Amino acid sequence: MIWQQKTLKPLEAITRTGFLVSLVSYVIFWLADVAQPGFISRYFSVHVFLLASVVFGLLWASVLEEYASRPMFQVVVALFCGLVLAVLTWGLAQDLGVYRVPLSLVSFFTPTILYTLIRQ
Amino acid sequence: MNFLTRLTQLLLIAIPFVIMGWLLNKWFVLYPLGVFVVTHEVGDSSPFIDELKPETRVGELYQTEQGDVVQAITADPAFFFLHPHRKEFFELVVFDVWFQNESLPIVELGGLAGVNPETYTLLPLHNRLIDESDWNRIDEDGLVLLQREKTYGSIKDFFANPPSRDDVAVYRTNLDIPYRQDDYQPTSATQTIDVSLRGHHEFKTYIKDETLFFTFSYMDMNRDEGEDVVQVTIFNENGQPVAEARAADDGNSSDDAVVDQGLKTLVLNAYGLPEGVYKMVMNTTRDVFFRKILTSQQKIVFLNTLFIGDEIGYREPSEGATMYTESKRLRLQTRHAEGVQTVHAGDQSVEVAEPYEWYTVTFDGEGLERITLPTGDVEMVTEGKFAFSPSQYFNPDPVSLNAYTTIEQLGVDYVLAQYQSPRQEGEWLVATVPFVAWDLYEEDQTWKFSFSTPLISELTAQLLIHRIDTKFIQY
Repeated sequence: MIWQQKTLKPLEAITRTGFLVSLVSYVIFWLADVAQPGFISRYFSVHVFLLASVVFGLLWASVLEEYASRPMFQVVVALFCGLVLAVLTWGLAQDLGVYRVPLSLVSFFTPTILYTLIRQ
Repeated sequence: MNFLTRLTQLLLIAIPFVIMGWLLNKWFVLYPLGVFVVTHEVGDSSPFIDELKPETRVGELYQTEQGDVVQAITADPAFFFLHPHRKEFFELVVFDVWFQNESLPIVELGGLAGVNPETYTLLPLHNRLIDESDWNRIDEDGLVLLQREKTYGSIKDFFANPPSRDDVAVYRTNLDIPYRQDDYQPTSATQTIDVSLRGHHEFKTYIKDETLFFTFSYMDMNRDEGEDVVQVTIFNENGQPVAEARAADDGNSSDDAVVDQGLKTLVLNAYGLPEGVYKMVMNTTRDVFFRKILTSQQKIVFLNTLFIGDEIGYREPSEGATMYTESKRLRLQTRHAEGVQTVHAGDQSVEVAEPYEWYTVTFDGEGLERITLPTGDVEMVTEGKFAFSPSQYFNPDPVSLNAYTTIEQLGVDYVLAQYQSPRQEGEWLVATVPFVAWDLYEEDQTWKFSFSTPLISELTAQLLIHRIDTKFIQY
């Protein structure tokens, strides 16, 4: 089966690149549009990147041969997602007065809590 | 294989960079430098330009035999909203409007320039009175000169040696021949305009060797929320402000309708002004009712709009108002059931029967017509002027060409217009109209533009719109 492994490796590399590029682009383009409304969304739908990341993610999962768990990386990702959610909540909760801070904190910790629960 | 994998990965990574570059180009308008173009066919969905509204004044979209999508404007006014992505970045908004107009005498496009009251900067799309005139025509630098008999070889000659101002009609331009009354004598007598005027008004007065003096007595009725500052500014014949008086809000910015006792006064004196026509702008909110105006000026004409206010809390029953105009057409509206009344206009009686319904009055005769409102609370709009006594009436502006007259009816020998005829593109006329961005009123990153199509209902006509292309230009 060595010959099969050789044909799968490039596909895995491509789908992995496609997944990561799509996901990072989705986050960056979305944040850019939040920072400057209309900058992206007037011309281009950021959800194209989300669709691409789902497609590449599924493809990557189907060709993935060996899964290596990287707990540190996962924690960093969870914290990054928390930061993004906290920034968004802070922006959207402008009219909620004193509830703005606790809501942003809850948003920040939610991905980390979810990650911990899944790990357990 | 390794090379192909790397190339594919590189392409995947390059895609978002390319998209970001394209978006940055759109945002910073790098190519073509400083010009952002939005092409829009009616019916297309666009983040920059909305569809024509309201639905009651525009028809359904349809396709011509040539495949062009068309929408008809069937009543006045129809409008659309424009959403510039960077409004402070652009200085000029230029429309290319593709249209067909079979029967309307004048079609214009207006950009909303102010609210309370709504004011528009109107620019011509199509003036069939000019385009179909058989008078001698000269086009120069965006100006058109029509001559009954050819006298001038160029517009430059016309300005160098102009005819009498009574012989010239204008359209969307000014005539640089100052208005003067040789037999005018100033007096020290004071006269009173005892009429309730609600909110913003504009009028013109004439001065010769005298002090400009006005005292405005007003009430702040506090019916709407917000501060009600009163500001009266005088502009000279060059449009420059020469004096101003201002009064702060009464301290009550709520909508509780609580009114201070007595009338407040605002006095405006301006000494040593040279002879000429001065425009006064009474700039305030609809909460402010000017109850009396005292002045030593003899000539006073209000421009275009009068809002005769109700007199609740001032004097009851309301005494209404009587005014005079030379306009041949005016429109009236009340917004309240209490404002329903029979208006006497010339020898006609016009029933203002329902709130929020516009009623049109037309006059056939020459000279001043008298209009009497038994009670107030009526808005009146005309293309001409109003005075509150025949002796106050004067017309300092040259005759104006509008949709309700023909050039022959104006009794002039020349027409001077700021107008460029639309060009022909296939079966469509294309008019280019430029608006200065800072002159437009913006709200929520949106500008409003309105088609002015006078007589469209009376003629059961329609204006067909095919495209509205927009160039946002930064200098």
